[in-house]
This record gives sequence, C-alpha cells and structure tokens, in this order.
Amino acid sequence: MTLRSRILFILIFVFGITLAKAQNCQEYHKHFCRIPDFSFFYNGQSKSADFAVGQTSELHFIVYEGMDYYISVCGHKKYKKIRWKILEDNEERTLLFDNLKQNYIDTVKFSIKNTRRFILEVSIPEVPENGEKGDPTKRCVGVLIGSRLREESEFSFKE
Amino acid sequence: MQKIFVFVILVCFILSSCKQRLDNQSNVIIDSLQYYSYLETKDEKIYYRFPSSEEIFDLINQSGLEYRPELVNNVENVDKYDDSRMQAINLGIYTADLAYLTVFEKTNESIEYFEVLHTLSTKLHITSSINDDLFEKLERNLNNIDSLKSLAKDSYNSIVDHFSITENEKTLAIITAGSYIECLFITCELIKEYSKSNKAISKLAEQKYAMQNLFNYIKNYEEYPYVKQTIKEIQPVFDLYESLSETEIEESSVYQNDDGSLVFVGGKAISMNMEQFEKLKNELTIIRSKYILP
Repeated sequence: MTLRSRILFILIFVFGITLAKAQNCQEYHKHFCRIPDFSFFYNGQSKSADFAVGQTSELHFIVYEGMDYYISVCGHKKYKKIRWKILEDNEERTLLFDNLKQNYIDTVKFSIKNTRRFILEVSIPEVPENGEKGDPTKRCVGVLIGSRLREESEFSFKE
Repeated sequence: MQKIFVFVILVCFILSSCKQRLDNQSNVIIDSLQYYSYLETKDEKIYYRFPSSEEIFDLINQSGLEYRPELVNNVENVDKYDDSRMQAINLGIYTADLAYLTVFEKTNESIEYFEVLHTLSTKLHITSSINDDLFEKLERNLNNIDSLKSLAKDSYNSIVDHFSITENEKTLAIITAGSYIECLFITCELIKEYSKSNKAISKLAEQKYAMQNLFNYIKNYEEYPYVKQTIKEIQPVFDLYESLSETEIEESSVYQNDDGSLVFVGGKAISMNMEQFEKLKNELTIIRSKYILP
C-alpha cells in the first residue's frame, strides 16, 4: 500500500466514523421505534434528537382531517421511562393525551375529525430507572409518526 | 515519509475527537454550574415539522381535481440553475412536481423528474437514494404505480435525511420552501373556479397550519443570507395565510374507539374568500416564475 492510499484510507475511515456517529441519532426512530401495522405509512414529520435526563423538548406537527395517525416514542435503553404528551398547539396548550396516565405506554393510535396543529412534548423524567440525577449525558430519543387515509365508514366512536 | 504518515493519522484522530472533547469539557462546566438552569435555557428544543408535498397532494386529490400536464416545471429548465440557492429551490420544486405526477399516476412522465432530481442532487452533493439502484428499481416497476409512489416518497425522505444527518437544515429549509410554493401553485391552478363549498378550497386553506410550521422552521436559519432572501420572497404567501379567519367548530375532547384507538374531536374551520384565493394564486405565480426562470 502506498503512502497516498494509506492516508486516503485513514481519512475515509475517520470521517466515516464521525458521520456514522452523527447518523445514529438522526435516524434513531427508523431503527428503534415500534412500527405500526402495514396499513400505516411512514410520515416525514417523524424526528429523533438527543436528550439528557430532565430535558423536555417539543415536536410541532400537523394532523389532517380524514387521516389516522400512529405515534411511537422510543429511546436509549438507559431511558426506561419516557414521558410524552399530545397538546393542542394553541395559547392554552390543551392537553389531549398524557402517557403517564397509561403507565408510560410508548404508542398510540388516533383519528382526527378536523385539521389541527399538535405539539408532542417529550421529556426524560428524573426517576431512578433513567440514570443518575444530574447526569448530563445525552442519549437518543425518537418519535415515529405513521399515517393512513381513513375510510369514512371506519369513523365510529363512542362517548 | 513515515513521519508524514504518522502526522496525518494524528491530525485525523485529533480532528475526529474534537467534538467529543468539547462535549466532555462542557459537561465539566455544566457540572460545576447549575445543571438544571442549563437544561432550562439551552436544551429545551422546539422542532417544527410539516407534511410533505406528496401528502398535501394526496389530501387535495380527494376533492376530485383534474390533472393538467402543463403545470409542472419543464425538465429542460434544470440547466438554468447555476447558483446553489436556485438549485436547492428548484430541487424542492421538482420534488413537488414528482409528487404531483405520482399522485395522479403519471408513470412515464415521472421518470424524467426522477432524473432531474438526480441531476440537482448531484450538483448539491446530496447523498441520497436517488442513485443507479433507484433507476434500476424504476425500470423494474414502470407499470406498478404503488412502487413508483413509494420510490418517490423514499427519494424525498432520503433528501430530508441527508440534510438532517449532515446538520445542514438551512439548505433543507430552502428546498422545502421551493416545494411548498410549487405544491400550492399547482393546487391553485387545478382549482378552476372559486366556490365556498369547494372541498379543494378548504383543503387549500387548511395549509395555513403547515405554512405556520414551515415558516417557524425556516426562521430558525434566517441568519444565513440566502435563507433570509427566501423568507423575504415567500413572506407575502405566509402573510396571506395568516389573514385567513378561523372559526371554532367544536370544543376539544377525546373519545376512545372500541379497538382502543383514540379520536380527537375539536378544531377550527379555516376559511378563504374569493379575494384571498385570487391574491394567493397571483402571489404564487409571481414567486414561482422568478424561481423557475431566474
């Protein structure tokens, strides 16, 4: 191997590792979040980001009338409990769903009657299962959104 | 020679570990300061997402609009885009065109648009799924519209992924602006006549929310001159959408279906009057003309 090809090899190797590191979190939801049944399609509003214990972040997204949605939230294995809420994106930030009330479930399916702006508020609570309090290490958390067109006849619900 | 080799290796490893060292240093600083105030001020991030042009066309197409072939940007224009901003804007425009063609199941026409996306992606150094493999898949699936739709969707998602991974979302902001302008332009042109009861008009008006999220997203990068310029150009469309009135339909509530899934009731109706529609159509035509024929 000539010196030039050795240098090239090292450069590709090092920058490859750097890119792979960055890639890990950006596509986390695609690899680790629970996928819905095959009637749902991947929705481009999905997102992954890095989180530390105690951190809260928001994902603002749009849901359309006549669609069904599936949301799955997943995180690094150290994060045993991830808290997330669905809020209306209005001044009051009306609470629509809180996974704490459902024992930290990681997925939800819902239908929409009218087009709306929602906020998915995700936080890593300071609980013993999630690591030491004050640990600033950031780890990946992903939000996978699936969507499908709803047949009108499927829209039956009880109060 | 050997010394040069060792030196290059050292430089590479120092460079690749720089970010990690900085992270470690900042961790020490955070530990010694007030960790929780750091989280409150620095780490509470807000991410804005919005639907793709394909999703918007899918929704609008439910109102039974008729396909018009002349609305897309001509593929021959691709060589006219010299600077990277115009290349990014037109990558967005052609992405929306491809979404339009696949939603209306125009298989043969869509192939040319895949090629144009490949050309512009190469010019912008985008590593995406628009490569030789994709064209092989296209050839194999020419008569399968579902596969074609899926390939178009994958191509768009891979462009989005590229910019997210390379942390170059400012370019993605420009591409998305181009894509939305084209998507809204085509939709306005497909609506032959304004009517308050036209389902397509209400679908068009509903894009107010997508525009709000898109605008909030783009504004994150307005420190970059070419993003600032794009914001200035699309501002009239955003302002027009902001002027649309909203009326509450029903109070917000949640129900549960028999299968355990939820139903979110509530929301507002967004209305667009004839004057607003004509103004939007006009603004979009002006902006789009500047973009496709610079």
